[in-house]
Amino acid sequence: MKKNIIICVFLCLPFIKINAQTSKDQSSINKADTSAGINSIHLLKSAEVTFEKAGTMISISPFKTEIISNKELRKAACCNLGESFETNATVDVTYKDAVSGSKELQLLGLSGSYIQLLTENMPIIAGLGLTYGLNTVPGSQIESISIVKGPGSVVFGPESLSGSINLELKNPSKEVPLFINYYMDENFRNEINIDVAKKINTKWSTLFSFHSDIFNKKVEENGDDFLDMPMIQNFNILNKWKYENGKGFISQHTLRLMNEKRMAGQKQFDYSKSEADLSSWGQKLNTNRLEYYGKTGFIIPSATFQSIGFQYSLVSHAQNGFAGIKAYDASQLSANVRLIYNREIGAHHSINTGVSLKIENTKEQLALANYDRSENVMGIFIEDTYKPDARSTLVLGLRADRFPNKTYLIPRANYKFSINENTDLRASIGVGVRSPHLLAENPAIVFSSRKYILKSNLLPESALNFGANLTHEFLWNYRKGAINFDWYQTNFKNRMRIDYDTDPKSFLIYNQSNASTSKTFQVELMYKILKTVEWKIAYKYLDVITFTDSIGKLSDPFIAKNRIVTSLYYESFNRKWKANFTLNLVGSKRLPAIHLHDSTSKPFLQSPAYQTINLQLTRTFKQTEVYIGAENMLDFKQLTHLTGSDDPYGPYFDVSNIWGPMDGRRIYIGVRFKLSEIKK
Amino acid sequence: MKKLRNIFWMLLFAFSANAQTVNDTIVVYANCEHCIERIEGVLKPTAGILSARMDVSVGKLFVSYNSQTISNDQIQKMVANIGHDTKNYRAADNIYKDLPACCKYERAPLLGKQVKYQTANLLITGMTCAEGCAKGIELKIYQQNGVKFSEVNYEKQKAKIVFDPSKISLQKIIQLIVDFKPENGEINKYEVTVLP
Repeated sequence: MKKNIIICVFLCLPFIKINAQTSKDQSSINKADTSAGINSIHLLKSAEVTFEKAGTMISISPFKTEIISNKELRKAACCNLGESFETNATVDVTYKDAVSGSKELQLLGLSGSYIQLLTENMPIIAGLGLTYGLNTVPGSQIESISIVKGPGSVVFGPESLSGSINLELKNPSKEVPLFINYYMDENFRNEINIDVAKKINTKWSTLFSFHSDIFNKKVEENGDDFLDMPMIQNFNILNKWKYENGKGFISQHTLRLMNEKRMAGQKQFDYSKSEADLSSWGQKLNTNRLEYYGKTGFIIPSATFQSIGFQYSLVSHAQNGFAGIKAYDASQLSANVRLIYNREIGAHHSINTGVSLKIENTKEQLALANYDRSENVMGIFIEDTYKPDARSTLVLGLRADRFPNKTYLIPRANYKFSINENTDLRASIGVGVRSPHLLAENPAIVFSSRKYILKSNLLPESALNFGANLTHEFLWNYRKGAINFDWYQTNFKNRMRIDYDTDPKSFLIYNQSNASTSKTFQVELMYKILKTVEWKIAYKYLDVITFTDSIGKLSDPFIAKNRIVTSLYYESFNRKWKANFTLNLVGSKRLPAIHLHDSTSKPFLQSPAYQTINLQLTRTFKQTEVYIGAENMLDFKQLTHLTGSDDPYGPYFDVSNIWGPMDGRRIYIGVRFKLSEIKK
Repeated sequence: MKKLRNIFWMLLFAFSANAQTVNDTIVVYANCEHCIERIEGVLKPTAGILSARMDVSVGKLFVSYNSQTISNDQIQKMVANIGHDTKNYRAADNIYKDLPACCKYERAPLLGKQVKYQTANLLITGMTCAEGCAKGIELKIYQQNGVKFSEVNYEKQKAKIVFDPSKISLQKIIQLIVDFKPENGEINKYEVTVLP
């Protein structure tokens, strides 16, 4: 708390100073309104959108940005960030282990750790928080999600290897005074959200948000004695403050406190115990998190447009628990600051330049092994946005980051050309660098009996990503539609390889150079097939391969080469009825070798292709909305996601072999209540 | 005055009507005073044309002519030759391109010779919110049988509506907008002006 107060005091200093400055030169401030000023600072938050009507939009930004609005999020009820991509083809959500229900987002076929996941442009869900981090952001707090394919802007850090996802939370100054959401499913999973927004005066506004997610039922249907879903108790409080003086000064501060208890394992395990013994296998994890983040920006009064943005975050994460007889305790303190100076040079150039600093201290203890480290990464960056004419934009960026092992130079280029009013072509190329977190990003290693063998010290992972994209909007028979083509490739220079295949009794972990590539192609079509029905279909092809010494070219495991998502969305003319139908066809995935009890191994199996259907019907009343829906309507489950589940302390217990849904059909009902401002 | 003169001529010829005098109404795409001058200006001196009056508000050309000297088809070709689409003839694109800026009318639909849909640009004042009013009006109009396209822009206070005049009239559409009541119970007074 003390630190927060210090930061708050610190923030007030530039504010007071600037207020004095702003009054001097009104005319230059009026030239650029606040929103535009802040947009130029926070490139990802591009509010300029071309396809306003649809739930998913392609932004006009030179970075290929797909924006999922809260309208799209409400099409599928749920619940938290991990469940927010049901209707989206770009991002795949997959399980990371078959016990604890940890999920990850995948972009361009690459694991979630290669996506730079940002919350209001700051890396909040990162490091230790990544494993269950998708659970920590309730869906109803999210205003929009921007997905950038490719390396994006250098301003936001070096970590984006395949792309970045940025969450914008609800805006305190635009929210209704009271919002309540209650959700319950057939297994009595209960979720509640209460958001209270208040405008203190014309400048200050605040949002207070409470969220709780409680699921206490032991569900075991596939006969392996292990719970199909973890039991969860999550309490989450968020308070966001926004200051905007209307003269180009804006400041935001968000504080989140979270406590989560997770329990998974064998049904007969006594979950009141604080440790496990060999009689039964259980997993418990208690996490406490404190997040503080914000941004402060202002326009410098001068003849040319100039602004300064300051972004900061502080995250404290502490978890303790056990997986079977292995204790797993960890804590992490990370701070990020970024200072951005933006100015226009002439009529065609806009420069962003600045410095960033990341400080991260991690302590991890798994059984008897310690894995402590601290990492400080200092970075500088410069980026030029060049608009030679109304049709093209070129963004050239360069940053240098001092990682513990060496300094990385990170160049990136993004180009957008408007072929005509409705057709945009984009191309991008750039480098990304990140430090891996072995255990936090790979819970399967923590839970499995399979040994992990670290063959060398892990180096930062780096990759070159390049690609192109074409979007075209059209009007056919007086109805709007859009078509979108994407092609992206990522070549890893260095990658942390988890080798599942060489030895089925252990995970071999090592650095691998120039041996891994990911290629992806995606085509997406959207059209209003009826006046009230919007149809979307997307096809994605993914080819992620690694060259190995022993076998040669090998596809990465657990990645579907082909995926189709199609959805129909109905909205009645009076907007009282809404219905959504989403069909997901997931192609087969390569599975690694499994070591079985009889000491035979089954190499290179393929998982079957499967499909899931999600449905939701919403009825809107004046201030209330009632929704009812079903996830995984066809009740498709991977029944054998646990290997060696009959002997969880034996050498064959392996939770890594997960390729499909763990839990089956889920029918839910919920209600949203919105108290709008009463207009006179 | 012009109108009176035309009526006079029409009456005169009606009385002296013989088999050769024909009164026709031809669909012509045009949008301003300048268009009227050019269309009428090219037709009136033409041999065989007894009178010509272009009315842009209904998109029609009222013409009397001697059918032994000139035909309806030839008149349509003449109009198309100076850049205006007609019921049966389409003006060449390069001629349309060279029209004065004010005469850049919305062109006839490409497919089919018959003009099926009409586009109306409206100015709507009195809207107080983007979601409740503008979007509500847009969907209310879009819901109507015969309306192909409806878009209401709250900031610009403008609406673009494409409809089939044989199924719904512009008056009906305007009436629906004026009578629209938003969900939140607000009572707004909407005023609608048809823009050229």
